[in-house]
Amino acid sequence: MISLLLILLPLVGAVVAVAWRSNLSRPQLLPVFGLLHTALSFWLLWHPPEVEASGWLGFDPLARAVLPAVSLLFLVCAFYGVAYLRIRQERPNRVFVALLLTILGLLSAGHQARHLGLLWIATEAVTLAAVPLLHFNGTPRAFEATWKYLLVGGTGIALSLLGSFCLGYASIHGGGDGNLTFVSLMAQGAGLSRPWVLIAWVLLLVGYGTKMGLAPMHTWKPDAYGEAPGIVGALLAGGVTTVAFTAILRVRAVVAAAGESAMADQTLLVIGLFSMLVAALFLLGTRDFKRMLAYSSVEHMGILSIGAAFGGAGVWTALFHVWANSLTKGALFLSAGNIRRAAGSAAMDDVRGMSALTPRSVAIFVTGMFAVTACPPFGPFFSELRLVRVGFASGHGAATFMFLGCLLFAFFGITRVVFGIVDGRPKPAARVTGQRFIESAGVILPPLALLGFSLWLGLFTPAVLQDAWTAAVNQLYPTP
Amino acid sequence: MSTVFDVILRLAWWLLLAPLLPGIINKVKAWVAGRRGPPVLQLYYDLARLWQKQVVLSKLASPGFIFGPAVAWVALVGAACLIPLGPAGATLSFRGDVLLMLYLLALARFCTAWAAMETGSAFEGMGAAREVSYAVLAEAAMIAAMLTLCVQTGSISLATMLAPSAGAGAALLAVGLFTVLLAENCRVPFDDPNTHLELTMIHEVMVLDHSGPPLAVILHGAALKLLLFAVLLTHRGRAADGGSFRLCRDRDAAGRRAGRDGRGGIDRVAARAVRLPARAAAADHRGAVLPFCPAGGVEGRRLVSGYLNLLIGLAMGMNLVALGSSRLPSLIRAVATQGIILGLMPLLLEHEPDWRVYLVMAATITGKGFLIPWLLRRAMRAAHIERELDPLIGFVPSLLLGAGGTIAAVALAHSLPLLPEHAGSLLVPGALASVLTGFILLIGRLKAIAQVCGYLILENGIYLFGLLLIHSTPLLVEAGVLLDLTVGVFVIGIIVDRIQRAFDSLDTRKLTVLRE
Repeated sequence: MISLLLILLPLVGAVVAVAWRSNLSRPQLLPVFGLLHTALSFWLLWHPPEVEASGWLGFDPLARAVLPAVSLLFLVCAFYGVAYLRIRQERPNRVFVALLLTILGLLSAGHQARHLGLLWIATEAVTLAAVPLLHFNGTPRAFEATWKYLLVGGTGIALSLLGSFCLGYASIHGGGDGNLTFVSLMAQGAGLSRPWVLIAWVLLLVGYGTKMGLAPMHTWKPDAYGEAPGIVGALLAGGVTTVAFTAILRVRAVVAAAGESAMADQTLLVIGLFSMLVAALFLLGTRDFKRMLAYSSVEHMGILSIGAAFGGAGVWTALFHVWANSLTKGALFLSAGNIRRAAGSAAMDDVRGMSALTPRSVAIFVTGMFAVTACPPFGPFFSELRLVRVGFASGHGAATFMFLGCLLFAFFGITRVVFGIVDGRPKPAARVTGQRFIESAGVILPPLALLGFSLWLGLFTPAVLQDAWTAAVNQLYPTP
Repeated sequence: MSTVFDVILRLAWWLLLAPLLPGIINKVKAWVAGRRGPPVLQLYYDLARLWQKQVVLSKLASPGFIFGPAVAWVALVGAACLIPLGPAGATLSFRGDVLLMLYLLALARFCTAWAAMETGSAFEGMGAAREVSYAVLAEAAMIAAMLTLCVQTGSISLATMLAPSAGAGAALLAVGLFTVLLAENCRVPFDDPNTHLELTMIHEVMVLDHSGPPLAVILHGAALKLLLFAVLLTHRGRAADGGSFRLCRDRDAAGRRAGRDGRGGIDRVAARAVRLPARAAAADHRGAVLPFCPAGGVEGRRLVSGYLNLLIGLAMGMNLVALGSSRLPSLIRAVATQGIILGLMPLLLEHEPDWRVYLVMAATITGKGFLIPWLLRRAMRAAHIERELDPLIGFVPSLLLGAGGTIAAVALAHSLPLLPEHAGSLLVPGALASVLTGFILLIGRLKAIAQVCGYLILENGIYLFGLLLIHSTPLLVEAGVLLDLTVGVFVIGIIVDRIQRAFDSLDTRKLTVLRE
């Protein structure tokens, strides 16, 4: 039951944060609980516990394959958060810190949920807990973004509840007892009522796809990522989307057990390619570097979805990409946050010549950009290369070519924006704000560390991680 | 001799009882609003007073000004004679009498509109135009309802058509007829008989220039029409066999008898349920009434499903009200009512309700019915907005979309594989229709509060669907879901509040800085 601590610890931390008096020292709670959480999750990575088959919560192979990445991302963001909140001392941070820790606890619950209802509750709670974080800045634009996030996200999450009910009804209609644990649903397999399974799959894919940010349900993403503080964006892009992705993987396994795996893979492939295409097109047009990160996130969600469509080896690669993307995207969000703060704006038209004002952040930003667009030797390069190989090997030649084409367009789009803000001569207004921003170690080291992790992941993919991913694939594709 | 006496008795029943109904309605309305209200017999006094007064005639008016109301009244009395009075049967009954009834009602309307235009007042002409434009829709609905009945029973005689038939269709039809009743009799939300605001009044406009006995005839005719529709509706709303009048008389006795029988532990709950109004009380005229009672076997279950369908039908009606209302308070009220209706359902579904069911029920009703609407009303008052002025999808198109969607939902639910115990229930169509309504509101409205209402209706639809699983999912999960939803709406409410402060408006059109 040690894995329950992963959920309880951050929640306890949230309570402590609420009770903590000092605005100045409260952010220190973030790295404390982040460290505990990371230590625990990595210990569990090396020493996977026994999972009770019919339990509602458990550190099963899928949780083991993904949760440590979230944990690591949170830890680094926590260190960044201390520095960030020191800069923003004028704003009370009680709610901010408490909700960050709550989100960590709920994410752990969502990753470990082995019950459809519980998974839904955790995901919905994460969605709600993120709301006050999005409008931390309190500007009208932030409220606008929050409103869109709430409305689109809320609708999506409502649809996934409807889908969960449909899956439950599929079980009852097929003569089952309506037990909504994934184990029992998979055990019922072909006994599930086929039409209801199909309805449930569509609704759940749309619902959790909204949370994940797959096109065309991605509309909340650019606004939310564009307006939220960098640390929140990093956690949303690396943590919240991951829990939605594992939810889709779990549901896909049930649908496959019911004998509809071909249909499920096809929808995943189509929606994945569509997301990449939409993201690539918007990347070519966007004029805001924080929104650019959001579209890049949509693109990578498309890559995950395509990976999940390519069968067992594809899922393995997708899990690899979850790690690579979370860590790299985190580095980008944090360094982009620095640049945004120094420049006083995120629009390409207002921001120029940042390499002169914030040289270190820009260096990380540019390197991160190359990493995320799959330049060797960073993590994303290896995961995407592997995906291409799997795609050709499994006979998805045309899809793989489209995938590569989208990557190319995304690369054009991203470099256009990045070099647009890095090069040139800074605007006079930016010189003033830029001088007020000091590139202290607190805001430089965390993104650098994330970049380092991404590099380490690409060069020396640890054996224990590879084991964990293989075990997760075995859980999702049980050999009969 | 006895037939003559019989006819006289029936006519007297219709003519004398008609003014009582508006009296009761006004009394109840006053009572709900916390006033004492006029006496129940007020309309009788009014009629007597008007009858003694002189007629003031416009110089322009032709004799049609007097003939119109007279003909209309005679037509309404004729139509009333065709309606069967429960087990007592109709005064007049022949094959095809349903057509005559529809035409008589139309004739009455025509004559009222004609008389209204007699004085040459532009204002009354406008009222007549409004009345007729409502009539186009209401009559179509009425004819559709009657056609449905014709197809269902294979007969075109009112006596056989109105013979009770249970099932999902009956409840839907009852809801439809209720809406027609509201439109035809100038009731809220279509019209308000009490208002004398020139923009909103419809029926009252047409009778502005009438006075004395013609006005008395018009008022009496209106009351008669209300009674007529009420009787029709009562026929439809009853899901089980039985004569409504005998039922009225026997209700208490039946309850007491059933209580004495002690069958399946029937108790005061059942007796109280039997005392509900006739259209809700699906009672067996033999007196063996067992609603809520699992031991009642098939009969009991059918009764429960009848109640449930009626509630779902009402909830679906609320969808349409929500789609058609431009004023935010009435939209919020529709959502609140729907929430309360939904909250009652677990009680009907659970065979042996324990404290957890009551807890969920109480939480749902307080949350959906009172707390959230209160929050929304507060936000609305803070923002000083009352109406959705020009929505993205107009009110009539969204109403038509909603109605079409409801029909599609019923059709779709038929083609879905359902367990036998859910096949006759409106749960799935109700859920689908509500989800669709929610989407229409979310997409079609621009005010943040209206969008929140759309979201709530969407959630209500999902809640309805969740009721299918009530026997298999642990209540813990349901409670968690409920909690999440409530918190969600709270958060939305708070954000609405903040948006209002940040933008000084709740118009989501102003949220257009972020676009691409």
